[in-house]
Amino acid sequence: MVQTSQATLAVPATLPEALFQAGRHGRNGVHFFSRTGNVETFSYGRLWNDASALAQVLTDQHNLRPGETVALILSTSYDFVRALFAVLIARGVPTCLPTPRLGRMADYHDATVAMLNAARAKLILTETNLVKNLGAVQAALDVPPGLFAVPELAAVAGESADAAASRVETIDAGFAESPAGREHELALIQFSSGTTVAPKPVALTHKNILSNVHAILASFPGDLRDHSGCSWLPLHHDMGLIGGLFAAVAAHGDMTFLRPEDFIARPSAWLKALSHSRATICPAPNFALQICVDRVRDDELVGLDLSHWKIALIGAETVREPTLRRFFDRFAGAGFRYESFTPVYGLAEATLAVTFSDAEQSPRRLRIEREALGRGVVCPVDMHSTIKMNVNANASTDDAGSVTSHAAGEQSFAIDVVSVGRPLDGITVALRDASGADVGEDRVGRIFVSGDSVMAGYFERPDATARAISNGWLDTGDLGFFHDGELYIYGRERDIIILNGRNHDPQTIEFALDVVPGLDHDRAAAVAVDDPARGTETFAVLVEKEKGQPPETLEQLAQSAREAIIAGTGLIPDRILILQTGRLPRTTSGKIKRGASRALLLAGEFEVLAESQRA
Amino acid sequence: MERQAIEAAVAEVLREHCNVTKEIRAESRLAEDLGLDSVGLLTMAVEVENYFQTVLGEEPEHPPRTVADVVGLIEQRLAERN
Repeated sequence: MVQTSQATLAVPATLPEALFQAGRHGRNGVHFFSRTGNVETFSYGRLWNDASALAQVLTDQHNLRPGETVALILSTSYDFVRALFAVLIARGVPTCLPTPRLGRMADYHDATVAMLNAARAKLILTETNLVKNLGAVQAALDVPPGLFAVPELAAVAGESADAAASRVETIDAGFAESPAGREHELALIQFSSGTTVAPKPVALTHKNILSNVHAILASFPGDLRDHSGCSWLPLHHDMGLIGGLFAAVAAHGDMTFLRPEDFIARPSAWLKALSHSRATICPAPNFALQICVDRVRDDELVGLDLSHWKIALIGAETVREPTLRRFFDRFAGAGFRYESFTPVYGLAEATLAVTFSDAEQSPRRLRIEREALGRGVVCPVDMHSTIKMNVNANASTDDAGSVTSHAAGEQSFAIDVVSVGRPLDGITVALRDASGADVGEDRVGRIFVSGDSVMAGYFERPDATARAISNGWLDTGDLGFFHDGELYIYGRERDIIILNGRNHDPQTIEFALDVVPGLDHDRAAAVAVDDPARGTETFAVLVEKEKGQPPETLEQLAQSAREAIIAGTGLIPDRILILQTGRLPRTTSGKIKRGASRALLLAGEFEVLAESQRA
Repeated sequence: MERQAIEAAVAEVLREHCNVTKEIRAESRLAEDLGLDSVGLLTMAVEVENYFQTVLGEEPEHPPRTVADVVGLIEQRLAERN
């Protein structure tokens, strides 16, 4: 099954060119909404001037050369945005990494060192109060880069608007010539998960980013000038940076940002930012919707107006219809409309977006036979059928990529899946079986993507690039099917665990077991399981006991495994299951097959000797 | 600020913003006993930093595991500021 969409739009060659055009175009710009409701505004013209002045400092005083990497470690702020564009204007390659978070400094240190080494960062730009914190990271790098706070560099650049304005003309002349080939230069190194073991730096060119961003913009209904955006997503995340900031710049549209930590601490601040900015477009990952349902108080609903919010982009993790329903029930009174939900699908290796559903329609839902789906065949059933049968309680967790309405302890014979829509302009999606042959409509296949949005490759990792891309086709590792021309995601074959929209490598979780005597990562598998109540994914850890381990110690072993994982990763497992030695499925070379282990768990096939459940 | 007052403020943040319903003691472990996941920890950090107008920061070798650890970190930051 292959689906192609229409031809791409004409786009600027580079991101600085897009910003320059936005600056010339009008008065729009970026707005920063604080948790107390204050708004700071910077026009794209001002941003262009400030970033240009900062670019000069990077080039002249820090010797930044085209193609060199600069890491940005800042929370969402104007400093972040101007530093990012300064690097781009200087023809450097930005890579945006998370800021440190409490309680996990040791992991943070290791993951950040691994990512900075992988991206070969020449400079680190950060916040004033993080310089001290990042000193140890800087010192641990293969080639220690310069470490600077953005406000210091800005002070050097001088804040004189006149001085900056005079530089506009110089750089404008450069654009007038449109240097050939500039669009194929690297524009960003994006990390798809904060893993310590083997970070994969996704290298994107200006063309990758701008073609993806313009394909996204082309999918929005009506006149782009009538739209504006709002986002709390981290700017080190592809959906926040590319789908939020870069898309707004390319559209010359207003964009309101809220710091992610302010959303997490005060979810109502997000809805207030939306209400205040009257933004029409805003991403809303499934778990964020659930957080609002759980934590926004009645008194915080007063005065809230969500009637302008036409497009709520739901991506980054599996779309769960019950969560959408709960959010709608809670916020319909504030003017939120169910049709605003717009499920999308994408991945960092394809820049960001692959498919979008129709922004003006309610999400399309399909009820299909579970048993047939297990064989890779899609058999739709009547949406109103409610037949359920009782099955083993162990099987009550559901397959990732799907949504069910069954109660704990029972399992419906059918499952509900939500459409993620059709491929965006210039993107082709193919579904293939294990032999590589295209599968037809209503058949489950592995999702492959081609088009200008597919990454240039993993940065300086030709081996990993060759495994991911073959003849221009990106292997996503995700599974899905086409029905009536729309894509539905049904699980994935890559071994990642997505918690609150963030990708985690199961290896990191399994390695955390090694501190416990009697446990070993070679006898464990961390696998994703669904948590419909929390509107997100969670994970279970399957552990084989050591030969000869007495049965009466196994409960304690499960408890120790739980504590080791929390201490080692900060992640809280849903269940730890202790199994008989040799029960986990393995490859011929002895490697544990996580996907097959997960399938056995969901089918209730394991005999569980001891278990530790989430409190 | 006295240790008791800091403890009370941290406990209030945990109850009000992190949905902790269990008994909060100085020796309670944040993840294991109080059930704070990454969202809970971040919420606590942001609210505490906002309340005390400080940046918690920590030494990588000594991550705060318990309520008392967090209180100690706040005391340290407040002392540095004065």
